[in-house]
Amino acid sequence: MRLNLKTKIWLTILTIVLMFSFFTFLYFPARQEEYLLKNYNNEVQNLAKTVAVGVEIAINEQNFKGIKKEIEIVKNDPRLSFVSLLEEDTVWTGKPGQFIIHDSIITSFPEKVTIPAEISSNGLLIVKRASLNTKLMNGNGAIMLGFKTAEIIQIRDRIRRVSFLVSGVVCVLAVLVGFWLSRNISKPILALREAARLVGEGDLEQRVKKSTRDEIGDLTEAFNKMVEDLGKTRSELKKANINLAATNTALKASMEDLREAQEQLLQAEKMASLGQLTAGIAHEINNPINFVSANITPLKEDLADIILILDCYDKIIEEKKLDDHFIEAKKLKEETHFGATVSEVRKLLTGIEDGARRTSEIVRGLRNFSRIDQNVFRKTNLNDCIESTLTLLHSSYKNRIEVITKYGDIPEVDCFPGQINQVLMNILSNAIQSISETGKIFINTRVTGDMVKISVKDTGTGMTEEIRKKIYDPFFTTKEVGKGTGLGLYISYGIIEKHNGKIEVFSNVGEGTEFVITIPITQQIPV
Amino acid sequence: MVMLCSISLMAQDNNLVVIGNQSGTPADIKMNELKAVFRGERQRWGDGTKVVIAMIKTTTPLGNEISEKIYSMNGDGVRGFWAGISFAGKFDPPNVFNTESEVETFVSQNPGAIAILDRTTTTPDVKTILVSGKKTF
Repeated sequence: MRLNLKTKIWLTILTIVLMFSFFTFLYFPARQEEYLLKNYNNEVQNLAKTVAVGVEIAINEQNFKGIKKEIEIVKNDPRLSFVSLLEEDTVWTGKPGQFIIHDSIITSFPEKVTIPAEISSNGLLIVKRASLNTKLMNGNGAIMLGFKTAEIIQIRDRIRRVSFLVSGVVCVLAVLVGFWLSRNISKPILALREAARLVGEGDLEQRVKKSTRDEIGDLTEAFNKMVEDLGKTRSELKKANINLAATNTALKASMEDLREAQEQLLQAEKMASLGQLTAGIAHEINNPINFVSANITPLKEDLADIILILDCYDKIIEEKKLDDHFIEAKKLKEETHFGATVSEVRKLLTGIEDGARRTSEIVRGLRNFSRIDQNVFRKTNLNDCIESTLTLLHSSYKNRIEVITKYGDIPEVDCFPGQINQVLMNILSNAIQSISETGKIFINTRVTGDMVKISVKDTGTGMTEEIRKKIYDPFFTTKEVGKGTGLGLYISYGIIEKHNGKIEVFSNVGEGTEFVITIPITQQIPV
Repeated sequence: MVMLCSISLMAQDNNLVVIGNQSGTPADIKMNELKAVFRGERQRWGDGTKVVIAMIKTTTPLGNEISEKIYSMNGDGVRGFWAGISFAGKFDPPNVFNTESEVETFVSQNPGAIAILDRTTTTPDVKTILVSGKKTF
């Protein structure tokens, strides 16, 4: 069983009070009564002896007045119950050698009281005997005194009453002391316990009021000091933690920047390599394509001349009626479907011309896209950048996606064109990939203040809010494994930031996505 | 010898004299009254004077004789008798003396005092009280 301090205090006080009450109310009165009775016994015994001696002398000297005088010693004592003169007789029992001592009372005072000779002390009376050695009674007389114990009982009762009163006063004092102890010991300790509990839960503002100047007061003071020191230590620790966290955050940021830089470096390196490769291929392709493009026009002109000559031949033959002379040629023309062949050659030339022109556009687009940026901004037409990107992506959206462009009259902006192409490639690729079958992509450019805005809006699947929040996180991708690095938008974001611009996304699931790129027309801080 | 003894006993039988103080005591008293007085049964004389008994010790021959004649018991018996009365405090016990002259003197000095001697007295203020008309008994 667990007893708290208050209970222990009250149990201690109760024990003390009970012990005190036992001693004052029971033990000491009993001992006092015993002591009084013992003294009273002695006193009565002495009186009996005194009277016996006096009476003995008086009887022996026949001084009967002396006897009266001796009796008067006790007669006037209010405690006297009786005084008797006894004679002891030896009575034969009738059996040989067997006698009993039989007391008989000769006379008593007061006379009217009948007292049995065998009376002995009891609770109300103390009876004492003293022998009389007088010849008159053959040496077998005795004085028997009976004294009342009423006075002793009264004294005992008075002592008990006083003890009861004292016990009551002690009880009241004990209760007061109990409350005092409770207030001065238990309460402060309970307050300390509660405060310690709260401190344990982390509340270091806890203080206990010092209410006493004793050890508990010292303990309270020490507790408050401890909590204060603890608070200081925790505060210092907190500051150190904050510093550590800041250092950690800075370190993390540095690490992130480092990794980002590394990624960007890697990507830039890749893009540079790709750009160089693309530029090389474009350059190599450009020459033969130029050759083809340059030769198509004279070829067409030559073909036209040839057809003109042939037409002239046909006209002469017809006018001169020389058909018989050219039967074989006429037959061959009919067999080879000359007219259709000429028409086909023209179409083929047109196709070659279209292919060469298209190839030239692609090559130009590749060259534009793969331009290796210098560390300075270059004035660039963003509409051209968009067109170049669309050219490169044409094969991935033709016949299923309608691209609707609405180019505004925008000025050339300061930018790194290669990086901007990279951003456009990422956003347009995502837009194309978000449309699973058929759909539309709206591209819009415009000037807003000193900024140029490029809006790329698709009618694709759109994205959830949860995905939208993560699209700029590195390595975050919704594509299948191996089909996306998760770095495209992350890098794009960094590029637009580097251009002091911003990139925004608006999307709803099933309604498509719109990316809005805003970059300043003029860069204030040259890189 | 037997005659002498008888004469002696006879003389002894009638040699006691009752004396009393001139004041209070009667001139004549009957034997029964005398016994009642000496047993303490009578406390006052006719005129109201308090009876004061004077006795010679019962251990003396005279005392022993008085014991036998008045109390019909021996000296120890009378001593026990008076011891008992004195003890109980019923009334004043007798005044006991060693000699007859002391008895006479006491009687002469205390009104109402009465005593028994074996001789007549000549002490002033003491008179001889007749017992049933006789000087001796």
